Order: sequence, then structure tokens, then C-alpha cells
Amino acid sequence: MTDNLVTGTRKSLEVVSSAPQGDKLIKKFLREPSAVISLVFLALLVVVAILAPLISSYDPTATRLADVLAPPFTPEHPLGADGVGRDVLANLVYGAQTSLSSAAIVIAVSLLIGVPTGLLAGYRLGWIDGVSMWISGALLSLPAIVVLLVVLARVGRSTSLALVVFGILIAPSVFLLIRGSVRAVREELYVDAARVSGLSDIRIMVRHILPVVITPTIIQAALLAGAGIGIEAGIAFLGLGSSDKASWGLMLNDASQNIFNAPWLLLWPSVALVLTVMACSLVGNGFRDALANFGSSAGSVKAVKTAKHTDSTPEPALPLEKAPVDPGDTLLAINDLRVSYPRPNGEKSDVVKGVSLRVERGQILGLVGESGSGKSQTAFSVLGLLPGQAHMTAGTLSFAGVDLLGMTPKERNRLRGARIGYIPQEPMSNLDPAFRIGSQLTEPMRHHLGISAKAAKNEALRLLARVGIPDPERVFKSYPHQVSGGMAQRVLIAGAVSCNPELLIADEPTTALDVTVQADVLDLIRSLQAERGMGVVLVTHNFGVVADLCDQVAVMRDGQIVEVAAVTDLFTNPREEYTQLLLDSALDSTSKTQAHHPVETDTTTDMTTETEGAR
Amino acid sequence: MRKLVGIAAVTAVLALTACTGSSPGGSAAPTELDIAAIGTPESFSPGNFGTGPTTLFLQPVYDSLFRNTNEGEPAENIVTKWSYDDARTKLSLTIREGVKFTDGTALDAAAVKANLDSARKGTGEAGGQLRFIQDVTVTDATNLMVTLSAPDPSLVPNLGGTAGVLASPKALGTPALDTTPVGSGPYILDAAKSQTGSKYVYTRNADYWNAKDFPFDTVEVTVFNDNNAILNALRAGETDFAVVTDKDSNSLKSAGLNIQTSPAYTTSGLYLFDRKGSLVPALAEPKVRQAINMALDRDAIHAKVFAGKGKATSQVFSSTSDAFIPELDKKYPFDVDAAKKLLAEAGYANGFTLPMPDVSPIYPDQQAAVTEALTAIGITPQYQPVNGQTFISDLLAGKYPAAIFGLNSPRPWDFAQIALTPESLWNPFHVSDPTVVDLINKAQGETGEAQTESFRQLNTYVVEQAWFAPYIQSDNVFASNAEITVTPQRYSTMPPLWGFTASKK
Amino acid sequence: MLMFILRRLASGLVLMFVISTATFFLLNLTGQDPVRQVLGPVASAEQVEAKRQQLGLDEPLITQYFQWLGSAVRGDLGRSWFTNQSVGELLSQTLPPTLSMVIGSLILAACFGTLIGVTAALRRGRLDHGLQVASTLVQAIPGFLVALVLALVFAVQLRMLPATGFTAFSDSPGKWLASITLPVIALALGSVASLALQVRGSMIDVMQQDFVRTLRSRGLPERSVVVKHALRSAAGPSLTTVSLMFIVAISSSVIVEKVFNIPGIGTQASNSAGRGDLPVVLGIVLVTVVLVVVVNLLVDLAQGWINPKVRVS
Repeated sequence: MTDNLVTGTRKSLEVVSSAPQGDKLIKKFLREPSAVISLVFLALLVVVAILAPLISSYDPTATRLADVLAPPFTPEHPLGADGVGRDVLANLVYGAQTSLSSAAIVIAVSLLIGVPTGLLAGYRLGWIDGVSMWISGALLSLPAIVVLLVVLARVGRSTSLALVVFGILIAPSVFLLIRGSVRAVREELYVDAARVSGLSDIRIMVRHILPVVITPTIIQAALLAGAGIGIEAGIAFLGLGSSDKASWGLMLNDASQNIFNAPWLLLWPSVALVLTVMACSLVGNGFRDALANFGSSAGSVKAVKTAKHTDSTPEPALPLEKAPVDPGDTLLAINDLRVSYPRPNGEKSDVVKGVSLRVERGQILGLVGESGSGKSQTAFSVLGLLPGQAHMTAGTLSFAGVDLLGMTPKERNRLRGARIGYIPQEPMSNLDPAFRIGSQLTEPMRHHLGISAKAAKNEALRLLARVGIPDPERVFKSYPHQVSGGMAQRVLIAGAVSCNPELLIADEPTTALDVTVQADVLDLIRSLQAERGMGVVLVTHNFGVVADLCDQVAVMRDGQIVEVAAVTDLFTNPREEYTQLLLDSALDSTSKTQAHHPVETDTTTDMTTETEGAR
Repeated sequence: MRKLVGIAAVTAVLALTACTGSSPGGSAAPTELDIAAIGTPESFSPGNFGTGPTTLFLQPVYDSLFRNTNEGEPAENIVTKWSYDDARTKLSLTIREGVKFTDGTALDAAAVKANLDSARKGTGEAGGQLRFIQDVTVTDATNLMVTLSAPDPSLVPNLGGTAGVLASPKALGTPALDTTPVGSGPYILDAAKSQTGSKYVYTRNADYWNAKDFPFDTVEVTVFNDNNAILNALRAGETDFAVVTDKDSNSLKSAGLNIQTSPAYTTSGLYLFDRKGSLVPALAEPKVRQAINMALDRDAIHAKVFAGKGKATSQVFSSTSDAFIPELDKKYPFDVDAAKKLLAEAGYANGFTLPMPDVSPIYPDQQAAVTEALTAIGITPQYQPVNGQTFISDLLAGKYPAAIFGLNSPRPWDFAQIALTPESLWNPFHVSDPTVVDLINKAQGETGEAQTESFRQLNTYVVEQAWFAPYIQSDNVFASNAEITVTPQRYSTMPPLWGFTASKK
Repeated sequence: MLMFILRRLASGLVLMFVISTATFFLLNLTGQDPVRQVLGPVASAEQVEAKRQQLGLDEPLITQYFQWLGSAVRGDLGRSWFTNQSVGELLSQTLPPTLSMVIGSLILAACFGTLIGVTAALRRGRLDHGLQVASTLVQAIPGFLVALVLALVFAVQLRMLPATGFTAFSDSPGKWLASITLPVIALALGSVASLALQVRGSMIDVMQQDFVRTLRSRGLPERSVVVKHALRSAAGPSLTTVSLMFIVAISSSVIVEKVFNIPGIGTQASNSAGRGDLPVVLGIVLVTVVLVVVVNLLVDLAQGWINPKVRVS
């Protein structure tokens, strides 16, 4: 429970900066059935606790010898009586009071300590921050029950004291959360503006920072409640809690003493305890999930919670019409490709609406379009690497004469790397940060080509040299974070061609690179292609790249192919208006960068670096 | 792959448990005796330990001077002959020859003297039992004379208990003796296998002079901190003997264990310490104390709290002793109205508050019963939280005017010493009553019938004055493995070690 | 790397110092006379005085503190006031049972938590949702309840495993394993659930990252992508959970030891705190802090091994 709290803190921190406004959040929250049920349960519990005297006329701590271990389902004792004749129902409902007040104490104490110190430490930083972080770490290192044992043993049995101490011990979780939240927003512009306009620190903290922090705090409070209730039960079970208060933990203590005579006494306090703690967790998690979903954009593929789940690899689609598959030089044949994603509200969002393409052997096809036109989606469809929720259908999707649609995922996987290569856009995020570059190169080679480690290493070194890396040995041994972006991209290119694929799919390979490096990388791709005779699908939004490398160009717009032509034809004589539009805007903004000339690094060149929305 | 690891691990555990198995006691006679104990020995140094359950830890390693019979009468052990003079202040002892301690030292009269001298200075109850010894002189290697400051009717039987335990004189006074005993007893503490405070393993002493009375090769005493764990251990066959509560006895019986009851020599009830009225003036009135006695429904408590075991009584002296008078129990019938009347007569018609320690963690049902009784006649108990470990010293310091408690009450003389004299430990307010003092002094110098008569008079007086409001003299309930037979000893709360024998099949 | 370790150990020393000082003064605050507790009610006033001097309790508090500190620094933790047993020896006897249980539960939690978490992350759908509910449920069940039920069912009823006690590994590895099985399960249950959730979350995050897709694009077998690559990156956040789980496990072991009557640190803490056996309590507190510091250090080192970016070279 306690470790749940601290990891929960981390998760809450992730959602802080996107804190939306209250009512929308509540609507989101209400969509989660388990969270709603839990909230209702807790509300009922509060009601029961308040109405306890009405529900049971017994004094929960009143012992009656005559009723020791009285059986349940009698009018005097609906749920029976315990080992000293206390009524079980009374203890159950009054125990709810104790549990709820325990939760309240823990929440109050830890918030009282955690919030101000978190605000201060997060905002002021400096030595305050250092000291409080150290204290927080020290407190978190203490095992709660051991501390409680020591304190209670000396001072005497007291539930309230135990919970206060526990609140102090768990305050670091609130402190860390608040501090993290504050640090996340403190650099925001509006805070800077406030500071510049002379508002005092306290005012800034209260008016600007505190609102951001409220929602994660509520989440944390829910978890704190659960932890507090659990600890109270444990303390009571150990016999360290106050004896004049009804408590589920005490009920369990009595039940365990009578376990051979009346095992049914275990039932009700266990159920009450487990359900209540569970409800607190579910409410907290529900809030957090609602917040997380709200934070990411609705159309984003990352909103996995609410999307209907499909298998992780797309099922082979029913072909709409089987176009004749002609072997020979056609490397890639796509006919009527459609890709769609389910929306949170259940509708479908179509991103590729019937695309048809052909790539011949040794041919470089450019796939151009604005962001959101569906070009990357098309590329991933060929690779079979669409995200799990994607729904793909096609009339034909074949590679070198083999129908991809009818393949099993394993067969598809065998194609990748060996016969179809992929160069991603972002160099740094596409290398596994935990493995050395060398191993990431050799592993696929050993898998596909079956060669020994030594042979793979030699080949990898050769490839690294081939892609223009000056010190292959050093890069081979390095981790991704130790090399520059340009080098990383070269590594990725090396990896893509390492098993001699016939088709290369390059997804905006130069977009994320420095201007100076781009030309080199393009040269590299061109030379590799020429050397190996690969077919290439080059996805880009940059006409300069297209002019430089491609033989054929396909223009995409809004999920459909607008025009396909040979490169020179397209540039000189575009048939569609849209194509003309694109060309005009491209030539205007990318005027200085001409593919054939080495670039004068002119900082006015506009490299649109926005990534496509639907990746 | 991980799945396989998981499966392998589970299989390994199952295989191991099948091999090692947890049920002891095969088909042959058991050679190991496992005893479950609550509480640990304070120390192994003579005089520094108590007299009750501690016995189980000491008897394996130490010989006592005497060995009491099943009737509680002293019989020879190390001492072979003994006699008092007429004034009963000089006790001459003759001891057995040829006994050696495990460190090679001889057990002679000098060793006995060394032990008695050391134990007298001890801080435990055992040391306290020797307080009448004034001087010990050695006459020769096997004879000594113990001089008392005043007669002590219980001295000789007490020397058959923990007070008469003998450790090697070389070890006496050394700090190591606190944790590592050096005795002459039937077993030796196996330090390697034992763990102070949790497990004490005793292996047979090959050179013991009386091995035939101890059939087990090993004795293991395990300390438990939780009653439930003891029950689990009994049912799983992991321990052979434990003291259990009455409530558990039925379910244990159906699990195949032997259940025996034996007097616990504990008188439980509401101890009205503040008879002088220092903290609660009402308690100074005999009528108030009598009213409290009449408010207690002893039969109900006997039936419900103690499951009908033990003896419901309002007398403090043990029912097995001759000072016990059955008719005296009729003095305080359960009568709430009469009790209220008495209270009113004493001037407390509206009752009063009675601060008491909250003992519900230890005696929840007794506290329940007492609360019912007191509130019924208008007395409001005010329970104060206690620290479990300072509880005893708080009681002794006179912090509470009354408490629900149980005191050891074996022989009448012992109880009188424990609780009735003005200097008694358990007379925290030092209440002094001339009748009581006179009777005790008289009994001290008497023997036989005369002494019994004095104690009976003392008993009657104490009950009439309602010095206490007892309700039960409880029984101990012993649960034992069917393969062993346990024979208790009179006046002793725990069976002696030689009372554990293998059952005849 | 060495500097990193040394710095952490130094920080740990400071922590030990602060916490033991706090404990020392806290326990002395309550003003109860420990000597009378030690000797019992029968001892005379002179005996109490003599013992007080023997234990050094007649000195002013500060002097007592520095005496303790001075000895502790040299490795002598003193003797129990009650049994006169050396605290060091006491700790060496009570640590193995508790450590066996705690480390065992961590290993169990790591294995099963990872297995379940990865499965849930990969399969998604109903299994995943079921895991989340089950996990919340399991974590809500108090440890003592699990221990009680386990003892009743598996030990008393089925006699498969011992209900009480602990056998040292050196005495019999088989019996040792048997004696800690049920306690380890009781301790591990909540951790398995919590770690499974953590791993699930991390795995989902990692599997959505670009490099996973790129690895797949290389045609690597799915198992390698998941187990060798994705899990490695997902392990990082989960590792931090491990150090937290350790602390919680030590805390929970108090209750589990009570139910199974295992003579470990928890039981010892309970007894010695209850009667005010200060040297023992201080010793236990120190040992606990040391353990936590060591575990945190190991976790950090493991983090470095898993995540090269964090590595201190």
C-alpha cells in the first residue's frame, strides 16, 4: 500500500501539466465504471458511519457475557456477536467511523506537512529544497510499523497517535508530488510574467501554482485514505490501537482469537476492510486515468484506454477486389489501401482512403504530402507495423509477387529487415537506449543471416564505415546517447540495409537532422540504393528531397493519392491544382536549399520539423 | 521461459516439503519433547528468575535441592536428609555424594552454600523466597546448616522449586550465567541450536545421576508471542505441549489432542488494593467492598468466561489447601439489590468512579464481566490505558486503587506473604490490620492442625472484611500430544519436567 | 563509480546517525524507569540502584548517548538490559529469518510480478482489465489476513508446510525453504500485485516507443523485442518500486512473524520496544537503516546497469 502511494506519486506527476478544468474532468471520471462504483460505495460508507447510532442500538464496545460468540441471523444480533459478546453489526458500522476518521487524520497530517513544504521546496529550490529532499528520503526509508511499534510502546495504545505518526511518515509522498508539480509549472511563461510584474512569491504560489496542484493532490488523498485505513487495521490487529474505539482491525483481532470456535467472525471485517481500501484505490486511479486521457489529444493513438482493443497485429483484411499480381519487376503493389482508427466516441477516423501504388525494382518512389496526409500510415502498412488499434484493408498488398495480406504475423516478420528495410525519422528515439549500437546492428544480422558473432561484428564495422562514420570501433561500442543525431541516423541507415533488403522504406529520413547533415545523408541513401539496386519508398514533405532522389512521385492529400508522375514531369507539368499549390509553397519557403548544391548554412531556411499527427 | 522457472520452483518446494515433512513423532517412542512457552526466562542466574512458568526453562539444566512429590510434599533429590529444630529456625541438610556440575566442579555442601548465598541476593521472585534465610554454614562436605531469622513454613517445598536451583559455583556471579546455565541437571543447553528469547534446545546430559526419570533425549522449549500460533503449532503437530485457554479446549480435543485441567493456583478477581481509601475513599468502607462482592455473578462468570473450568469462589486461599472453607463461599450470593442497599448504607447510594487499568488486551472477557457487575450497582469503572510492560510495576507502585488481576495462591502461607502482610509486595497501599498480622504471626510458628486452624481463621476474616472480590480460582488447561502423558504437581502451576513421559501404547 | 558508491555510503552513515540519535532521545523521553522494569517487582531499592549504576543509567542523558555512540562506532552495540545478551549476537540471530522472508518475497514478487505484468501489457483486453481489478483487490487485503488464512489452510489443515517456526539454512536447506514458504507468500502477495501493475504500465509505455517499432522493423523475433529489449527499458521505473517494496516488507514482516511465530527482527522489535530495552531497539533501528541504505544503493547500481544513461562512469 505504501509503495503504491509513492509510485502513484510518479504517475500523478506525469499528468500534472495537463490539468484541465474541473467539470470536464468529472465527466471523464464518470465514464470509468469501477471508479464510479467505488465513489458511490465510499459515499454510502460515510452515510452508514454517520447513521451508525440509528443502524445499531448497541454500544460497540459494550461487552455482554451472555452473548459471547452468539450466532448470526438472530433478531438480537443480526450478524452475531464476537468473543466477548460485542455486537458484530455495531462494530461494523462504528468501525466505519474509525476507518473514515483514520483516513481523515492521515490525509490531514500529510497534506498539512507535504503541501506547504512541497510548494516551498519546488518554488524556491536552493538549500530548502536540498534539505527537504533529504528529510523526505530519510522518512521514506523508515519501515512504518517498526516506527509505530517504538513510539506506541513508549507512549501507550492510541489509534490517533499512530495515525498522526503514520501521516508524518507518508507526508514525503505528498511533498514529492507537490514539489514535482511546482517544478513542472514554475518555468511556465505565466509564472514568469507574474514574477516580473512584482507579485510576491506567496501570491504566485497560491494563485497560479496551487490550482495546478489540486487535482493530483486529490488523487493522492484517495490513495492516502486507503493506506491510512489499512495501517489502522494493522495497528488494531497488533493490539496497539485504542481499545475504546470500535475498529475493523480489532474485530479481526478478536476473530483470529476465536478462529477455531467461530471462523465466520472473520468474514465481515475482512470484507469491509478490503472493499473500502479497494474503493479508495479505484477512486484515486480513476481520477488519474481520467486526467491522463484528457491530457493527450483525442485523436492520438496513445489514448489506448478508451479505444476498443484489437490484436496487436492487424488481421489480414478481406480483399475488396483481387487485382492481378504480376511478378517480375514489380516490387511492391498496393491496391485500394484503407486504414482507419476508432475514435473515443466509437466512430471511425479514416486516415488512408483507398491508396494504390506500385514500386518497381530499383525504383525510388517519393511519397509527398502535408502532415496528416497519410503517407507514414501507408508506409507502415507495407511494413505491417501499424499500431494495434489500426484497422487496415486493401484490395492488394503484395511484395515481390507474394501476397502480404494472407501472411501470418510470423511470416510477415521474416520479411522485415531481411527483405524490407526501414529507416525511421527520429534518430535518437529509434535506437534502444539500453543496448550498445554494435549489438543492435549485429543482432538482426545474426538472426536473419545466421552468421557468427565475429562475422556479424566485422560486417557491422564495415557497414558503419560505409555509411560515413569516421570511427566505427568507437561507435560500435557506444550507447545511443553517446553519439550525435547525425551519426545515429547513419547507424539506423546501416541497420536498415544490413541484411540486404530489396525494398527500403524511408520515413522522412532527414527531417530531424541538421541542415548540414541532410545532404550527406541523402547522398548516402542514394549511393546505397544504386549499389544494391533497392526499391525505395521515400516518405517526405520536402520537394527538394524529392527532386534530389526520386524517380517517381506520388502526391497524397487527405488520405488519397492525388497525382502520380515521374519526377521531371511532376515538377515541370503538374496536372493537379493541389500539386501546383504544394510546389509553389515549397519553392517559396525552401528557396535556398537546392539539392544538388552544397548548402550555404543560411539560418533563414525553413525546415518544417513538425511531425505528423497520426503516426 | 519464465513460466518454466515458476513451475520448476513450485515443484521444488513441493518435493522438498514432501521429503522433509512436518509431522514429528514416528512410530517409535518419541525422543524429543517440544514445549510451547509464553514468556522467557529473565536470567539463568539463581535468584534472578521467577517461580512460575520459568520453571520449564530451568528444570532441564538444573537440579533443585528437593524434588516435590505429585502431592507437593518435599522429597529427596540433592538433599537426602533434612530436619528442623524445635524453634523451626535451624534447618540441617545432608546432600548426596558424587554429583558433578557439567563443568566438572563438585556439587558439595560448599557449592550449595555458594548458591544459597548468591540466590538470596537475587532480584527475582526465587530470590525473594529465600528472604528468611539469615545464614548458611557448612559443617562438612555433605552437611550444612541453614539459619532462619524467623520460621518459614514454605521454605523447604520452595527449595524444591526454582528457589532451590543449583548452578556451578564457578559460574555464580559471572555475567555469562545470565544467558548460559551451568548446572548438574538431566540436560545441557545446546547453545548452538538455541536462540535467546525464542528457542531453547536441551540435549541429554550423559553423566546425569538420575537419567531414568527423563525418557526424552532432547527437550525443546519454543517461545511464542501469539496464542493463535500456539494453537496452530499444536494442531500441526509441531509442539507437544502448551497451556491453552478454556475456549480452545473443545476444538483442540476434536483435533486429537489430550486436554487436561489442573489447578492453576491463581486466584482471579477484582483486587481491591486501596482498602485504606487513599485514592478512592469509598473502598475504605467494608460495606462497599462487600457490595462489590455481591454484585459479581460468579456462576455466570464461571460458566461463560472460564467455560465451567476451575472453581467459582470468593476466597483467595487455594481450594486444594486445608485453609479453604466451602461454606464461606455462601457469604456473598449474587444479589444486585442487596449490593445496592449496602452501598447506600455506606453512603454511596449514587455510586462512585473507580479508576482501573484497562486490561482488555489480556483479559477481555473478565473485564467485560466486571464492567457489567460494577455498572449494575452504580459504580463507574474508569479504564485507563496501560503500557503492557510497565503494568506490573505500576500496580505495585499503587497507581491503581483496584485492578482485575490474578495472583498466585499455592499454599496459604505463600499467599499471606505475597499479599496480606503490611510489607507484602501485593499490598501496594500497605494496608495493616492487626487481626490479620496477629493471625499470620501465629501461623508462622505453628505446624499441623494448629497452623491450619490459624489459616482458616485468617481466611474467614479476610472474606468477611471483603479485602478482595475474587470470582474464580482458575484451572490451567494443558493441551498435549497423544503420545506423551503429563502428570501435574500440586501447588505448582506447570507440570514438572519429570511429569512428562511417553504414553504407554 | 567508486565515488558514487562512497558518497551514497557516506549519506547512509549520516542517515544512520540522525535516526539513531532521534530514536535514542525519543525513547528516553517517556520518563519511565527502565531499571525497575528490568529487575522486576521483587528487587529491593538497593538492588535497583546497583543495577542502575551497572547499566550506566545514573549518568546524565548526554553522557549515556555519547557512550553508546562511541561503542557503536567501534562495532560494540552493547548488551540487552533484560537478558544481558550481546546486541550484536542477538541481531545476528534474528536477522537471518527476517531477511530470508523479505528477500524471498522480493524475489517471488519480481518473478511473478514481471511475468504477470508483461503478459497483461502484451495481451491487453479482458486479461489486462482483470489484472488491474485483481491487483487493486489483492493490495487491499491486509497482510495479516493472508497470513492467517495461509497458516490455517496449508499448515494446519493440509499439513503441507509448517505452521510455525524457522529452520536455519545451515541446519537443513529443505526445512529452511519449507519454513519460509508460507510467510514469503503472505509477504509477497501485495508486492506481486503492485509490481505487476507497475511493470504493465511501464511495458505499455515502452512498447509504444519508436525504437520498439524500429526493432520490429528489423524483423527481430517478437520474443526478443519484448523480453530482451522492451523489458530492459521498462525495468527502470519498476526497480525503484523494489526498494520501496523492501521497506514495506520489513514493516509487514512484524505481523507475519507474529502469526507464524518466526523469531526475526520484527518480533524482537516488538518485544524490546514494548519493555524499553533501549540497546536492542537502537541496534534494530540501526540495522534497519543499514539494510535500507544498502538496498537503495544496490537498486541504484542496478538502474545504472539497465539504463546506460544513468550510469555513473
